[in-house]
Amino acid sequence: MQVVRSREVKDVVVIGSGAGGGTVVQVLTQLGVKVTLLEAGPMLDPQRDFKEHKWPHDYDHRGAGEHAERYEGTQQWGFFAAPNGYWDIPGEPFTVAEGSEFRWMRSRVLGGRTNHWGRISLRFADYDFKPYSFDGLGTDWPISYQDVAPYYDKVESFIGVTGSREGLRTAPDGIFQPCPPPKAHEVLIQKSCEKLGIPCIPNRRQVITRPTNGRAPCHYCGQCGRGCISASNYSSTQVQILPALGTGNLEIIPNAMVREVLTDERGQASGVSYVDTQTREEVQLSARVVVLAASACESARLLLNSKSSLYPDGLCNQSGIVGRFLMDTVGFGLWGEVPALEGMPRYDTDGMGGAHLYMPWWELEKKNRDFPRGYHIEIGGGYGMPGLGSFSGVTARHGGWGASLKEEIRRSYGTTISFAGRGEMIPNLNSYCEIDPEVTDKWGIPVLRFHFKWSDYEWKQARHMERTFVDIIEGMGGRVGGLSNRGREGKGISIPGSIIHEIGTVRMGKDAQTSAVDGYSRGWETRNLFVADAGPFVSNPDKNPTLTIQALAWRLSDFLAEEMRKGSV
Amino acid sequence: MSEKRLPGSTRRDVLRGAVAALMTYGVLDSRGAAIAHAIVQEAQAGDGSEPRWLKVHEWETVVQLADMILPADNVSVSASEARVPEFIDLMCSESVRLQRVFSSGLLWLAAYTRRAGGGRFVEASPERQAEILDLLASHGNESEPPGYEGLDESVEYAGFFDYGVEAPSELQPGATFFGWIRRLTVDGFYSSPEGIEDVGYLGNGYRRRYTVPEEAIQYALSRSPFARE
Repeated sequence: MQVVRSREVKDVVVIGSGAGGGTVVQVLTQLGVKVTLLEAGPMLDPQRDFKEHKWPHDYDHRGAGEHAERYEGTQQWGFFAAPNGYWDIPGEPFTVAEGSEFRWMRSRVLGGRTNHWGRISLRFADYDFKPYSFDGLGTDWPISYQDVAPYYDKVESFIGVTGSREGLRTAPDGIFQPCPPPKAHEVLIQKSCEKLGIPCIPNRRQVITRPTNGRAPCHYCGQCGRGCISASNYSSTQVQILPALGTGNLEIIPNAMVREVLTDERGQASGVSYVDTQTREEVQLSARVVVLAASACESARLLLNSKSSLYPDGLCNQSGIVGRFLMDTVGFGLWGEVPALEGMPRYDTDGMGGAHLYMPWWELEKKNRDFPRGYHIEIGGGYGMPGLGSFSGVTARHGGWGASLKEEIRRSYGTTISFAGRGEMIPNLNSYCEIDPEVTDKWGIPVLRFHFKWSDYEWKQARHMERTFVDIIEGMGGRVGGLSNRGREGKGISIPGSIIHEIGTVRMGKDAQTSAVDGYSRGWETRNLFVADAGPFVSNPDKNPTLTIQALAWRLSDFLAEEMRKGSV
Repeated sequence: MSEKRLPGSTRRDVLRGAVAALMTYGVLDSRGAAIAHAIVQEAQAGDGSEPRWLKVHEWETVVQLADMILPADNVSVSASEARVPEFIDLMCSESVRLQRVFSSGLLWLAAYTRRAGGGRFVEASPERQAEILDLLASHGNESEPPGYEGLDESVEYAGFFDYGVEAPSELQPGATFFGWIRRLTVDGFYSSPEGIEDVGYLGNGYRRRYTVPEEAIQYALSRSPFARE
């Protein structure tokens, strides 16, 4: 094998192009810093790769895939979904320790998982940064809400987030654009929640409803998950990375699967070694600064695989903490059928692609609960675009065939609603990832082995979700149908990893003995190494992580640019 | 609806219409089967739309079954008029798994019909055909294959709660096949322009503003427990 060495020394090498990497690219290139972005997958061309506005019947296979993948059981995401990632990547396995369950949705494409995500954008609350001080569980972050708030402002202003000012401690207000009005089923849900004392407020999503930084506002086709041609929702590709090319400060190297971070004799990062997946050559890049933004678990894997005589256990791992305190969000969902919606005059319920309302946590102050922390609730419902599988559930419930089946599908269309709880997991010692000593991927890179256990806290929280959803559905005169996602939540709680909020493996903290990185996500020993994904998160609050990934990445970038200007990096 | 595919006025379409009309009045029997047969012969005659994988006799049975599962009614056309058999045939041509399901399932159906009174399924009386479908439907099915489909977020409300019911062993292959053809028929029909129009989906558009009709909200509220608030 030829080892290619570049003589040039790059200023900043960023590994990974999702929410974290995209934000670092945006901020640094605007501040005049030269950035080289490494992405393990191919480039993305939204015009070519997004299937927004296509109808199922625009394709003879209707979305089953060119080779009937849907019916073969090999279609991991819908045919129409934006290029996103996979639950299983051929030749790139991971392993799960006996007695554990874990799923890992990985992306290999420019923009990563931001090409196709829920776009839910929730600020962490003040108490979320100080969980130990709040209730004696977990660990406090070394930073506070006040440190992050200005960066929430910057991200929200630049990217655009819908919402309304509510003054709730569990859902701090931000800089919002107007959210479209509630749909008819959401009006009923809101009334039912009102009776139960549950706040049900305009949704907070990274979708623009006003022209923003040259991007056109949402045109309400409801197809966010397919990728948005007009960039009216956030993907790092369209909002940050492709525009950054215009600064002349960005170089993108796609198909670059990074093996390890290299260090010099002083113990500082000196560059990276990656596999060019097209030529299968190993390439080395020299760099003044390395920023990991490969996703929490991939960044942990990279650090653990970056071994040297100085760092026999990998980088940032003096304390042995890399890979520890892995968390996912607690997920559980129910659906119900609402007779009041039957026969309603049809209208377009697509809106901005997701719900127009959501419910933040409402029992923060309640004493004597049987689980700590809380969850928020996401809503589903409306007349979704019919496609393959849309009526499998009603067909199975009807059980028969003929004219009555057709009538039942027509009658029940749009009468179902669903609720998804998204709750906080308390970090525990049984949930972590490590290098599997016996397995490598097709690039010869050692893979991760996962260990994971929900504790009683999470199980009890899921039961609280279940009771709440039953109450909301019945309160609006509905009948509970069953689990929203039996494959994922059939045991009563989501399979770990399946909510795709895996975080916490490169924890930040006060010192090198108890953490991997400092409050700017900067390595304690390797001072020119930063982590800009959800690896540094100390807790996993009941607010989806993306906005906080972006805010911390922006804060890190401002800090890094200043340090570079001063010459101290 | 953006680009609605309108049926051409070929002889084949006229024949399809005839089958649908007969189905509407519940009189599709051997005459209907003869017409279905004629559709196949038309296709075989080389108008460029021969079945890709199904054999002629299989095609006839698929047309018949699809139109029994989703017949024409006063809102929309039948499954075959919405080109469901073409969809099933295309899927079979690409999927080894579906080839196994359809080849073994159709043969099972042929043998079962012969043993229980003789003749071919497509030539059996409507009552006999309905009896067989009722029997297979009542024994459940295994339509949703295992795997990650439960995680497919592009599909809403995929509540597959009744799948996987064990049918007695003699009927199991038939029940399984029925589950598959019903799944493909429903998928094919409601992903067609005709099916989308049937349920009345109005989205996937371009709008400057998004509004919710007050009429819809009042309709839902007036039928809810919140009516008198």
